[in-house]
Amino acid sequence: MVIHVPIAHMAVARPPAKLRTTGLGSCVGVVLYDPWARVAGMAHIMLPQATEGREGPPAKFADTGIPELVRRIEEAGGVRRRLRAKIAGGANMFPQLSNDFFRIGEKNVLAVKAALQELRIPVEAEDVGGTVGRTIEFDPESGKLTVWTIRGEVAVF
Amino acid sequence: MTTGRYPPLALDALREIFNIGAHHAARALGELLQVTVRISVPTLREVDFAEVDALVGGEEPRVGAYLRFQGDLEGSLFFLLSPRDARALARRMTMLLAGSTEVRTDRANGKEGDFTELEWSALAEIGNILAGNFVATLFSFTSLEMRMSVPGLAYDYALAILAEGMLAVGESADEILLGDARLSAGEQEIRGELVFLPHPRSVDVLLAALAVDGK
Repeated sequence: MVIHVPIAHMAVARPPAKLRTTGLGSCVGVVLYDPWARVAGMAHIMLPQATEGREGPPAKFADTGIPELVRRIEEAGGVRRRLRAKIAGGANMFPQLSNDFFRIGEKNVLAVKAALQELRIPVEAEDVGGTVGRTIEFDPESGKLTVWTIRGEVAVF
Repeated sequence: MTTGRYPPLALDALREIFNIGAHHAARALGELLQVTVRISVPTLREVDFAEVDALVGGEEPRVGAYLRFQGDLEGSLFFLLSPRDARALARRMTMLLAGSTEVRTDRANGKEGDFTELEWSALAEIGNILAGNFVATLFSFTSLEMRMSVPGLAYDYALAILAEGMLAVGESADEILLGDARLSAGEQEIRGELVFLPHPRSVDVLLAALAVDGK
């Protein structure tokens, strides 16, 4: 079974289920997993920071999404100090149009790393930046993250 | 799922404006390419972020022209094509520019996402013309002014392209107004999708200009 994680959302899975999110452009796909308990969570994060005083799905933002993902993994039996992270995405999809706001991919990556660092979760693998989108799938059984691009490139982290 | 930010009357008004804008854009494309461009009945609805994937075929390969607009109205407009149709459209356009009537097929074996610089700029120009006419139509109905960005182009997953417009509204909304019109051109049945993503705060401006009570 493959659990699909929509944009701005998150999900938690155990083997044999896998987690998948498609079409990461400037967005960042974050995988946190506890290799011992074999429980994993994935979030498809769109933006660095939540606007104050506004409700919304926590997974939309790095600063609210990552703590919430940790909480849900703990609920499913994972242990925080054992968590490791793998991240992918944060591309600059339209370099022709880039200005400060639209270098959002880079900002997303920085915000994700800052949130992980705050929770002392090590980043074990990353495939970020560039100008192409990515589709990712994580297997909690093996701890492997597979990354595809539209041009058929495949990499395993 | 309707999230219900806008009442039905407001959505009807927006639908009508999108409809007219899309038709004008389609006609302009037809004139440019010297073919008949047909257009589906445009739809416009509120869509939760989680549903966008399924609606736009998130993992499908698309060539997308992306134009941002700013001013009285903010938002974005996308023109999405399958790689095959993008190539057909680009060839038609470059052929016309060259004054030739024969379609060149010398690159028919190229990879799906490989485009010549000329084809790429032809597609950017098509995006420009569609968006320019769309924006001009909005202006003629509302007197609201918009500045368009230069077109950005990408060959990628549909969602990776569209997300660029979604994250521009993401700070203040969890749903988008997805205006969708399918265009088909000429005997070759080239199909493209025009997607309109207005910013929520602009929608209120737009409704006020149309004298529709959006609250």
